[in-house]
Amino acid sequence: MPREIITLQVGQCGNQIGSEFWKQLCKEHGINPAGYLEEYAIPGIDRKDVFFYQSDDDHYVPRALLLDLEPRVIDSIKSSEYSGLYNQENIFVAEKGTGAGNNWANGYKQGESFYDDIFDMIDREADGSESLEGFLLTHSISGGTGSGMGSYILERLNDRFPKKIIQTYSVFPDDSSVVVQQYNSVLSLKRLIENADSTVVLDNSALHRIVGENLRMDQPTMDQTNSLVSTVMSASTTTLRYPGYMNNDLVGMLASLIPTPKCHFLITGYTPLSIDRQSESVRKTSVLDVMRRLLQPQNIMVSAPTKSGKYISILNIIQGDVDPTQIHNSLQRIREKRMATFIDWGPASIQVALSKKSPYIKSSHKVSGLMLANHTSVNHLFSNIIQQYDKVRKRNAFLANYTRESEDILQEFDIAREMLDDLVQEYKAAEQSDYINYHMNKEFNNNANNNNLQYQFGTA
Amino acid sequence: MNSTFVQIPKLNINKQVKKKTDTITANTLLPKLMNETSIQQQQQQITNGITILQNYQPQQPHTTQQINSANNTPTLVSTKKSVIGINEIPEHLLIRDIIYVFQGIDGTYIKYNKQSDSFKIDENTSNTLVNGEPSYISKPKRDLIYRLCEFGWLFKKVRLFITNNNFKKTGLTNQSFCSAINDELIELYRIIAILETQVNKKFDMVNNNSISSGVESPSSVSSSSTTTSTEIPFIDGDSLTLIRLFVWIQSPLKRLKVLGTCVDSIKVDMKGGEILSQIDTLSKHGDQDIRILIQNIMFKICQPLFSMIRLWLFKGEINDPYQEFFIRQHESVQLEKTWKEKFAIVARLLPTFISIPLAKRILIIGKSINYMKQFCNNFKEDKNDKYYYYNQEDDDDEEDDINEDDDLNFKEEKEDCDCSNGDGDKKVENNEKKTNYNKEKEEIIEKKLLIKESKIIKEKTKELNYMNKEILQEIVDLVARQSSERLLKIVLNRFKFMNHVKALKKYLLLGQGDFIQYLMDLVGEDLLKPTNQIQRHKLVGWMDTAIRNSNAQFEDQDIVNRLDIALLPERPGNIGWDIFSLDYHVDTPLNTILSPNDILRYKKIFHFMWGIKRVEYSLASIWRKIRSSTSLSILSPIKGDIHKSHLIMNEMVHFISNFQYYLMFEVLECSWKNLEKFIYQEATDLDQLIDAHHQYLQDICTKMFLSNSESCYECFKKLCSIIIKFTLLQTKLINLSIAIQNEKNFNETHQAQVNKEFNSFRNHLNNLYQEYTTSFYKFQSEILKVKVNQDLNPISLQYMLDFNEYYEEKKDN
Repeated sequence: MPREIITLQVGQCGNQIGSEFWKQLCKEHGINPAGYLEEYAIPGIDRKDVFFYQSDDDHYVPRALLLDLEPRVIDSIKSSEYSGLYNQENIFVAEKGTGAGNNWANGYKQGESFYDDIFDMIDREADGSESLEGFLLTHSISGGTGSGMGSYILERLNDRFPKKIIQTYSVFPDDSSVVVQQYNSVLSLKRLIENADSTVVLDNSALHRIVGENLRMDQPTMDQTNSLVSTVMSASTTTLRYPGYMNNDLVGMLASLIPTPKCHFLITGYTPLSIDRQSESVRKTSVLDVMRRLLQPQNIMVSAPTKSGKYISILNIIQGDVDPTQIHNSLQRIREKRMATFIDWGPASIQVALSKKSPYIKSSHKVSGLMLANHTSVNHLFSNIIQQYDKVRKRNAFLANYTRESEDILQEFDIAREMLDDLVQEYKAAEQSDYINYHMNKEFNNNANNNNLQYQFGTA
Repeated sequence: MNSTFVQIPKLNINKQVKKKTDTITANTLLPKLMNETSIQQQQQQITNGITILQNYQPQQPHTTQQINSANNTPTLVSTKKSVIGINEIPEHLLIRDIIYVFQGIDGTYIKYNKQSDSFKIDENTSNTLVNGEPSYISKPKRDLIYRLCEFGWLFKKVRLFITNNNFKKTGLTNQSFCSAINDELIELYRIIAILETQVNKKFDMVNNNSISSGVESPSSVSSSSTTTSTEIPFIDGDSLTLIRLFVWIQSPLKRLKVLGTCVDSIKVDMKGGEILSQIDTLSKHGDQDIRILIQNIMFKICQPLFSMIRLWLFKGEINDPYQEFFIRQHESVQLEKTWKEKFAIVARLLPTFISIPLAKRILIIGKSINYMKQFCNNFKEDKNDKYYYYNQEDDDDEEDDINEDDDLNFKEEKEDCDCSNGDGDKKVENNEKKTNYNKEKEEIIEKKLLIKESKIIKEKTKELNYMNKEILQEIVDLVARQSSERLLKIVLNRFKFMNHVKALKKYLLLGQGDFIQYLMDLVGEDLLKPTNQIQRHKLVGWMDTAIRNSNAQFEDQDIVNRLDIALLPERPGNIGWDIFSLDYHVDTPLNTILSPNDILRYKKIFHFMWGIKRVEYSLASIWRKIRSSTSLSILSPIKGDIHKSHLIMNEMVHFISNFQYYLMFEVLECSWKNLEKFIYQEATDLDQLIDAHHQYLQDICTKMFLSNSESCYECFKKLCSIIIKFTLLQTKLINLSIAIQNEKNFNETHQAQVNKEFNSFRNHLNNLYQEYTTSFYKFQSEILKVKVNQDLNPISLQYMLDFNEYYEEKKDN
């Protein structure tokens, strides 16, 4: 069965990276912006039905829901050449269309109010698929709609489709941006910890850094950053779209990446980068080169000291013309030179998936690679957010906006912060060799009331 | 033909001989008597010279009287005519006899004795013959006669052998051997005939002399004959004496001896190559005369062989009524074994001058042609088949040459069509046109090359014989390109061999992931049933569904139709999983290349990998269940144990995925790469292709531990079964949590029960983990053993399973 994946694009950011993702998929599968197969497309090499379905006129329709509380981004999609691609019924824009005003609580509340509309659409899509594998959510955790409504959707998805995988591509905020984003982030992260099976961390500041370094400019445009994101997203789904011997479904991929439920925040690396196609400098690429570069901090898309922590797991998706014997040699080299530090409480290794490259996209590089990794240093990202959150929270800045939306919001903040801190602790514990006893130790040290954890905010 | 050839001269000679004996007997006694003295004198001179020698020679006891006379010779000679009534037999009579003996025929005095297998002087006749008086042969003459008899003995032997029908009629090589030897014998007959004419001339001389002496002056004649033998006006002015005969016969004797050796080395039941090998070894002789002689013989007796080789190389046929060709055709061979077993080399019949590798190549060439004729039906009509087309026998050589250019254009067009129709491949049309264009160009060049080559081959084959047998190698090299490589191309292009192997890799080796996933989803549950409830038709239905819904639907219809479900032989207590396998049908002519045995191996591999996939899927699904069951949070009291079970699951997932990684890259992809490289770049004939494919399967089996390490395989299976047990335990836990959640009136007894369950879970988990760890270490050590024992390298598996040296450190603790 196709193991369909439904993509939910929530909020400005979510829709932007979502639409870039679909553009990329269309190119890779030889589908034109109107949704029809290009003449040069050959059947049988790829698997389009995971992300698309075909309408009666053979039009490929993305299994995507475009959700936003304000029309700007969605309108721009609608006016782009890809407007015909999407199922118009799957586009939802709140009627008043004022957005969530960078307020998580507002977004959450609006989400609640549009529950029926949104879940009608989700149900319809789910019913249209034969064996739904799960959902893919693209959003930002710091805005209003993506974080607030996204959080709400995550919770409801869990109730409604308990057996489905939920993976999110979550954009983490820049340090520089608005103050309230720390509030929003903390609250969304709680849902990501609890309700998502896997989160691919797209760290905005790291993305900017990488794009800037790559293009040698100080202020890369949003499009350039987004094209990087779409590259990562499409690369991380290649094994699902080009069937091979291994990693043909999301569960299989995630099962080997995520040993314990909480530690499911995956970082990514990609090389060689080719943004905008024009500034591309061609490098010599071999499997070893690619795998080595994937382990270098400058290619890892997260602002965390990856040199210091430990890898819990690594999956390298290598695309291109690869001699299988090279992989063996490269892995041996990496192991001998100890280029990556792994956890010591269990077996861990670099897993390699070889995937076909789309025949329709010309690339000057022979080999390219994406790394999906579970790395303990990701906790710095969270502790930074906690730190900044604590600073703002101390001053009670802008809290009124939140309390206005919900009375329980303060308690909710506390729980969310605690949970985030818990995650930081668990990641830190995972660096130790007695991680296996983590829960027993924790229980021993602080006799926390577990009931608290079961509390859920705003269940209507 | 041959036999008459042999016999005619012999008969002639016999007649001649008979005539001569008649004339001899009709001769008057007078001249003989008259001559007697002179001969005796002559003889005397000679014998005197040898007397001393004679004393040293051991006396050979012969028949009584003769021995006496022989012993007495010196005295007799010394006393000359003092012994009355005993005359020496005149030498010319003896010479005449010897001439008979030379031809293997009994003479008057010298006859063949069967008992001792030698020519002997018949004492009785020698005693009675001359003038009715007892006569004798002197000792020196006897010795000389016996030495001369060797020639006759050899001659007789050789002639006997080549006229032996038991030998001669059992093969063409045998026949040509006989005829070659006979040719040599004829040569000897000629020499004998010359000698005979000399003898006859002497008789004539004697007769003439007697006549003339009767009329004119016999004394003068007698005197002239007595004075010196050289003065007797024979052809070369020489009289034929035994000694002369002995000298003259040396060179023919040498040849005859060689023939004798030839004949000796051949046994009656030998044929074909055996004979050639025997004679060929004799040809390695330091004496150039002998070498040339034997090479001459070889040249002749190799003719049947070379004509068979020619027929085989160009038509793939064997015309071998006597079963003497070194390639044997087995008629009653199952169709699918045609390629492998229909033709085989009979090592015994392989001549030593054709090396075994060369013989194998020869075998393959003819086999290829034969195979093409049998299985590529449209082989001659097919205009594309230019390879063989130009390589036909000389029949219409000229026509071909003239029509070539016209044909060329026509063929090109046709090919063009074929390409665009048949190639449903994944090429963009522009590319296709370009490649077509290039193809055309290449083909024209190739065609021209082929025509050129064919001509060279034809020239060369005309020269093919024993003397320049080296060109056989060249011819084979050239023809191989046109037949073996042609067949290889047919198998690759028309039979689409690689497509089938690719399909096998995709489906039986699980390469087509989406199809396999689909199939597993569909049949998974059914396969849990005991074997007697497994319905094949249902499974086939599922498979069809899986094909329709996966990318398999875009596969070549021919390949899809070959896919099927096979149920392996079951053992008691088996469930569906134990017997399920995919199947791939191969029909003729494909099954001559992909044998049923190969398919069986594929099925074995499928079964193994399918089992691993099952474990992988069970693990993945339990991973998903654990993640998604919100009820688990209820089990906070055993949170630590659940955490532990997460980590155990991680170990298992890690193990299974890394093992699969090993299978995919180190085993399947690497072996596949080797195979592809070999077939596209190195293989030159079908045998190599088949061997390469065998090697491919063998590599996979060995590296998967299917065929080399039973204990390794067992260990692996044990690990898998533990993992399955683990997933069951996890399912139980989830069910427990749901049960607790659903229990509304949670009371004390429930609590106790739950605690009991918790304890049992904990124990189970610990036991399982214990068991798993032990098995894992065992498996690791087994891998190491394999590494040491076998010449293969599961090192990568070794380090992939413990990339971060977790197990090593754990073991140390």
